[in-house]
Amino acid sequence: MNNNIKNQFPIFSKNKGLVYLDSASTSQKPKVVIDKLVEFYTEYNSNVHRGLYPLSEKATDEYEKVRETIAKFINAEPNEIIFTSGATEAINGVSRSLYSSGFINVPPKITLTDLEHHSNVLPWQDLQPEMIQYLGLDDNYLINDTKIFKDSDIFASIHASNVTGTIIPIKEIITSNENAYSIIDATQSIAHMKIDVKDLDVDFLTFSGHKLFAPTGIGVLYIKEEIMKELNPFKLGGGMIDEVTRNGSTYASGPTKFEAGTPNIAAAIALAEAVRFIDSIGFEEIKLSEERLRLYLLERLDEIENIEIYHPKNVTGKEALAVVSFNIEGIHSHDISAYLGEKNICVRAGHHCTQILHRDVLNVPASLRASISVYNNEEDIAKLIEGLKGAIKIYKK
Amino acid sequence: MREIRPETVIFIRNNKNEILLVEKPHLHYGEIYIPLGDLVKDSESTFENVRRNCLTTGLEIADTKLKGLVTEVSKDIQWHLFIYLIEDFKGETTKDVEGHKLQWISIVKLDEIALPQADKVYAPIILSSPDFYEAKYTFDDDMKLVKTESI
Ligand SMILES: Cc1ncc(COP(=O)(O)O)c(C=O)c1O
Repeated sequence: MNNNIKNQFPIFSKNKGLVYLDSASTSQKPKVVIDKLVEFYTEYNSNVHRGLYPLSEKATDEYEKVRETIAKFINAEPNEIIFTSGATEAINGVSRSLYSSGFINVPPKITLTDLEHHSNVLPWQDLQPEMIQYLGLDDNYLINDTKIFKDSDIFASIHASNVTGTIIPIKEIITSNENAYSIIDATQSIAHMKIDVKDLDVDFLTFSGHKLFAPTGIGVLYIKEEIMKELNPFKLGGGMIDEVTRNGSTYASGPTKFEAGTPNIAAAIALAEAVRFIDSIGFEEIKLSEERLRLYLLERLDEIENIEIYHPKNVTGKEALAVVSFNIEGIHSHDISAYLGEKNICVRAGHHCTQILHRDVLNVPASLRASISVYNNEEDIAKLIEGLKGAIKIYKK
Repeated sequence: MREIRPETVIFIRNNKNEILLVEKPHLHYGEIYIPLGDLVKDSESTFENVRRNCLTTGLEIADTKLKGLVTEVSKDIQWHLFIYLIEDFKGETTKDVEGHKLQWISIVKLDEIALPQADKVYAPIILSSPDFYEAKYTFDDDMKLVKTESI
C-alpha cells in the first residue's frame, strides 16, 4: 500500500531516491493538499468575514466548513475550534489567556513532563510560576507517574514525544486531576492516531497542521465550550469585535473572538483537505503500516554497534509512535546527518527543541531522529541502515 | 569499487601562530581536534566549499592558498583531500559550528593534542613547508594509517 500512497506525494517524483525520515519535523504534502492551495488562490481568493460579494462569500463558506471538518476529526463541536498559526501560537495564547482571565492562581503551579518541546515550556515559565513539576521518564522512556501535584493549576503536556515517540497516558492523568486545567499538545500524534477530545476530557488541545500533511502557518486550538465563553482573547484586532467605541470595545463570541486579523485562509482550506486525505486511508491502516515499520526500524538499528536508542522497548503502538532517536558512540549526530544528507536520506540531528530531555534525562547534547509516516516503506529503512554503516566507516578514519 | 570522496581540509592560522580546530568525538580516540572542511558537494568547486565552511566560523576570509593534495586509500573509501591554508582574514570566530566547539590552538601544542592520524602527518608539513605537498596515504582494514608516500 505504501507505494500507492507515496505516489500521491509529488516531492518523491521530483526528488528521485529521496528517503524522507523527518516527518516529525514536518510532513510532506499530498497533491490534493497542494491543489487545494492553488484552487483557492486561482479561483476564489478573497478575504473572509468581510466582503458581501460572491468570492468572499465562497471563501468564508469554505473557511467555516473547515471548522466543521476539524471538529468532526477530533470529536469536538465547530464552535470549539480556533485557527492559529500553529501549536506554538496556541500554547502561548492559552497561557496568557488563562492568566489574564483570572482562571489560575498568581503565581500558578504548573505540571509539565520531562519530554516537553520548548513551545510547551517557555510560555509557562513566562508566567513566573510558583512551581513547575516535571513528570519524569522511567528507564524504558515511558511516563508512568500520573500523580500531579494536588494543587496544580495547570497540567500541560505533549500527547506524544517528538524525540522518543512515547505516548503519554494523558487520559489517566487528566481524569485523576480534575482541578487542573489540561492543555494537550497533540502536534506529534495527530497524524498517527485517532484523537477524541471528549474521550480525553481535555480542556485545551492544539496541533500544527504542517505535521498533518497540511501547509505551514495553520494550526488548531480546541477549547472546551464552557471555558471558551469566559476566556479572554489572546490577540486583539480586526475581525474579532462586537463593537468598538472611542472609550472601549466589546468582543465577538465563540471562535471569532480568538481570531483577530486576517487568517491563513488558503492553508485552513488545505488543512481540511489533509484531514480528508487521512480519512481516505483511515487510522487503522496508518497505524498498521507505521507500527510494522517502527518494529522493523528497531530491529535493523540493533545491527549497529555502539548505538544508544532512546525509545521504549517491548511496547506496542499504543505506547509509542514511530519516532526513534539514537546516538552512535563516537560520532557526532550532526556529522551522521550530514553524511546521510549526501545520500539523500533526511533525518534530523540536534536537541529537537527538547533541551531539558537531552541534557537532564538522556545526558547528551544532541541525538539523531528517524520518524516515520504513511509514505515510508522498508526500503527507506534499509537505506538508512546502509547509510549509518557508511557513516561509521567514514568517521573511523 | 571504493566510494570516492573529494573533501577539503582548511587550516586557518592567526598572527599568534594558532590554528582554528573543531572539537569532535571520535569512534576510537575519544575527543579529537580536526581542521574545518568537508565533502565537496554536487556542483560545488573546492574554493566554494572553502568559502561555505569559513562562513560558519564567522570569519571574513580574504585570501586562501591551496597547499596540498593528499589521496587516502582505505578498504572501502578513497578520499581526495584538498588542503587549504588561510592566513588573511578579519573578524571574530563564533563559539561553535553545528554543535562542535571551535578552538584556537597553538601550533607548538599540535603534538600534544589528539589529531586524527593522517592530520598528524600532514598538518606540520602544510603549516611549515613553503612547497606544495602531494602524497598518498594507505590505511589497513582497521583504518590504521600504515603507509605514507609523498612526491
Ligand atoms: C511536540 C511538538 N510541539 C510543538 C511543536 C511546535 O510546532 P510549530 O513550530 O508548528 O508551532 C513541535 C514541532 O516540532 C512539536 O514536535
